Amino acid sequence: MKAKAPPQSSLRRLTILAQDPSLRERNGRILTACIEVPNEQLSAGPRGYRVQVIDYDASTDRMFVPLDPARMGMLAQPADPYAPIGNESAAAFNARLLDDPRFHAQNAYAIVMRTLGHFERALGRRVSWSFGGHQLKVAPHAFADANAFYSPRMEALLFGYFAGPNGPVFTSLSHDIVAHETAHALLDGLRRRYLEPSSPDQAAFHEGFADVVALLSIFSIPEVVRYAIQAAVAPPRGRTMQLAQLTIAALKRGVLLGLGDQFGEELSGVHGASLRRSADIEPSPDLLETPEFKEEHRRGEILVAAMLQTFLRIYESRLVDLKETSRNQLPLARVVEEGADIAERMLTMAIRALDYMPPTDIEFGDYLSALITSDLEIHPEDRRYGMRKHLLEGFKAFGIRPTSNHGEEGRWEPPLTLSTRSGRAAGKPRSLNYAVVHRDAMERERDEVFRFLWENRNALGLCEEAYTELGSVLPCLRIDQDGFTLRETVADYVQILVLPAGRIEGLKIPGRRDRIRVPRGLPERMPIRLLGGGSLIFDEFGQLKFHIRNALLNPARQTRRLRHLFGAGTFDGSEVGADRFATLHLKGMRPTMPRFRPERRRWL
Amino acid sequence: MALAPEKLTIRCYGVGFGDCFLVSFHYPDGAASRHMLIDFGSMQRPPNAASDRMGKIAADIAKTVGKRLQVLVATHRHSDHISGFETSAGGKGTGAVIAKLKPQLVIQPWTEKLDAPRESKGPGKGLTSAADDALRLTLDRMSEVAAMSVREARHLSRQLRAELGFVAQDGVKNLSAVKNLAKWGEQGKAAYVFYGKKIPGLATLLPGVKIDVLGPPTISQKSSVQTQNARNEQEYWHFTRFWRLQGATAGLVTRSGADLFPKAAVYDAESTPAENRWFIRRLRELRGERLLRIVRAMDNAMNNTSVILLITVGKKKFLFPGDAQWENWEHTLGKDLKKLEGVDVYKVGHHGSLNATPMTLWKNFGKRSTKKSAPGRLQTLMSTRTDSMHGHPENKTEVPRERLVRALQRHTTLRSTQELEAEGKLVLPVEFDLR
Repeated sequence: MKAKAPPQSSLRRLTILAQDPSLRERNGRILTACIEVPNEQLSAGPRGYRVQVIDYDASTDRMFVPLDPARMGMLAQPADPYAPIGNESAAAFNARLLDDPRFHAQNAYAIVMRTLGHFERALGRRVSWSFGGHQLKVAPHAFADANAFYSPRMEALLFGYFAGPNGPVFTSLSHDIVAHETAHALLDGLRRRYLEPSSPDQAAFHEGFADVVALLSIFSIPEVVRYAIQAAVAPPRGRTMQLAQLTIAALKRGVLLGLGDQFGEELSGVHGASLRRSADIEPSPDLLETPEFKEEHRRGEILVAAMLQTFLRIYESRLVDLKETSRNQLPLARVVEEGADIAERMLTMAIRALDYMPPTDIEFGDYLSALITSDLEIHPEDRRYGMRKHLLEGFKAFGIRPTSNHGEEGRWEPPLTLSTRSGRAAGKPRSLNYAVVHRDAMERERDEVFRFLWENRNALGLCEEAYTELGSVLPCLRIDQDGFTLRETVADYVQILVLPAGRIEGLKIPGRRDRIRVPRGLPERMPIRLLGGGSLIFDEFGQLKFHIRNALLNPARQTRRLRHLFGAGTFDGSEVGADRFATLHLKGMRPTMPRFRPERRRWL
Repeated sequence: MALAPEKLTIRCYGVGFGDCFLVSFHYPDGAASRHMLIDFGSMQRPPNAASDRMGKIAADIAKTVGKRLQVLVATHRHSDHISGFETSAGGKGTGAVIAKLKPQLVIQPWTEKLDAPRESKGPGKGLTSAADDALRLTLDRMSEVAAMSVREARHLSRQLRAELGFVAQDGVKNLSAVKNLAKWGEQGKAAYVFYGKKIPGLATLLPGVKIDVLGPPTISQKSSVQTQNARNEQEYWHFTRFWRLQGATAGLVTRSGADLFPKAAVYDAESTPAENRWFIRRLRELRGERLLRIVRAMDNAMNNTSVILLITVGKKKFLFPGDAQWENWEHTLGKDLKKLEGVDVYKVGHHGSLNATPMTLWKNFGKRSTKKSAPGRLQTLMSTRTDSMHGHPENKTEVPRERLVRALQRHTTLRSTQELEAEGKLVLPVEFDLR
């Protein structure tokens, strides 16, 4: 008789630093958390089906020998080699983790896998990296440099180390930095065109979104929320919190404390600093128009600040609700659980919205509409936390308003509203033609969805002169925290039209009188690439629910885009692609300080 | 009547990629000639030159000068300008030869004064001097980064190693030369100069010679650091913080005995797992490219500390700008264009590289002429090397830059140390009649 195989767990638990080594428990022990990641039979590295850690240090030309995979356990019985041991002293525990590069490797592996897990759960499908391969390389001690970045060219996340005020600082030990870089890699896999020069908001979105993921990822860990609350508010008596203490100001102080201070104010050029700066930005509807926040990196902080304000408001509001039913007292564990749950839900919402975004030329208002619409689809009711109401208010406080308000504030319009409104004069069809396509094939085949797109090009308002390409077709099964499921198929396409600058203003746009305006001073013969595109969301019956697009022939948007690109001098596509993230934090090395007028800086 | 030179000789030495000019002022009536040595350094010997080339040049300088060198100028700290001033462990070498000439006045940029504080925290009390101190500290930190880069270059591919090693080595602090220059200054007189600084005692040492210091400016001369914010990536304090961090981090790699994980096991080169080799090779290249960007930024910063001297003797004006680049020139060009209009002799900046002769300066030279026989035509002197390791023709960064050389040949009488390469000669003497 065959021996029965032991049951295989789908998850394994691993110890990570909850944020970074600066967060300590009262006994001096580093604050750690035990998180769950998909269970798999790991090779040395760790090396799994999506992540390969390679601990090579290019500055010293040394490669550390990884942990024996046997110590990570078997599929049936996964092990956590760095879990706290019984009565181990704080000093011994800290040294066991911090002095062992193999723990650094595990920490990076676990956080990358956890972030990937968040994306796959939120989107209800597998998420690919932007490069062809399946395994993202991760170098936890890549070089001696105060930098960490995602490198598409290397198919990798590279984490540097540097001299801090109290000794070496390892960026791979900072939860927010690892989650931030992983978010860059995942966003690049989902939305390749977001790295292209476009609007100031698009330039800011990659950084801002990665910081939002990092922020919510940290605060979805109960250990961090507990630490933040205990540090910001007077220590609770016993295990009960006085809810009146938990004001917005106290919660915000807690968030800042929870983010840690490993780098110190001195090292303001390092990743992570922007996240901390975002928490300090006071809401104002005019900020986006100020010169300081026109700059793309600072502009991204507005997005984070808006999400953070929303998080704080929702948390406070939830505690107020609970206060009424609990005589102003709640067990600390409950307070912590509520905070972590809100962060987890907001993280899911923030990621899921990506499917409801146009694939090109985005603005912050598009993201807000995407957040609202995607949440409406899976949570028609929003009673428990009132997330959508708080999001709209939180973003409005920073001057961000939704692009669309169909039926409900923030909701995207149904597919034909956008094109027929402007297209009535042009005689566009008022319904979509499904007769020529097969429903089953529409769930997976690019050519089938392209046929649908092409057959309905007039109804959907496509530009016929442009090159059109369908990106991906992805069936999704979204399951929310409460078990509600939603089946959708997501596809996207782009349209590209290259014209000499001198011909753009002559472009006739069906049904419209206005034209795309070209900035003065642009050489007439200079080829200009106009981009447009849309995301198509089909319901489980194959019907198009949403066509979320930025039309190629949208005069107002294209005019804004061209003006911005001309002002930023990025028509040549500089800082695009592979080196963009690597150079982001090199800016401080400029050899001297005064700004100069480039036109004067000419050489013989 | 006051004593004034009637003739002047500039001996352009064939150091290869570097600078070394001995300016000799010849006085009438049998009065002894006086001498000014401007730089003595090399990063790459001339093609086919023997390894004792620098020694031979030092000997020729000593022979020409005789007992006492009146003025020594080290325009900036780069090795290709000061390596000749170093002494070997046994107290020998080219530096020892120069030491015997007992320079009476040593001129260096203000950034080389060795009393910078160990820590300069930026804005605060004594802001103006803090800003200047911070730059001196920054330059020291850059030297540490250069040392790290040289070390890291060892395990890069051959091409990257050569390029990175060349630029970084130039920036590594040549401690012996730096110390010698400071010591000679203490023994004679030292002048750490900045824009507009009057050089003391010059009239006695070089009668009839006027020297205007046109650069480098100090930080406080150049911009209003008071209003700048350390968080602004474009501004000064951010720049000093960036390099403070880079300098400290370099110490993690270069400090002797530095080992972040002393107990950790590492692979030896042969046993690295095969599945990781592709990644390791690519990461080395990426790191090398990034270091190259960093050392080039350092190179530019150090070049910008170059002393710019306008020497006026009789009716002739000689412009020696070291390797000054934009941030240094910008200050001068904003204030002294008129003064520079009548330059007779221009030492081509930065060995003929693309970013050392600003168009504003060039167009302002009133004595440029396409007619070779034009009286008083601008004369240019260039110390450089054929096939130098700096830059690439494909991205128009080769040194000397072809376009620049063409313009110099067309509009000026150009003399280059490259003329010495074919016959292996040591020195290119160029004479000027000042009467």
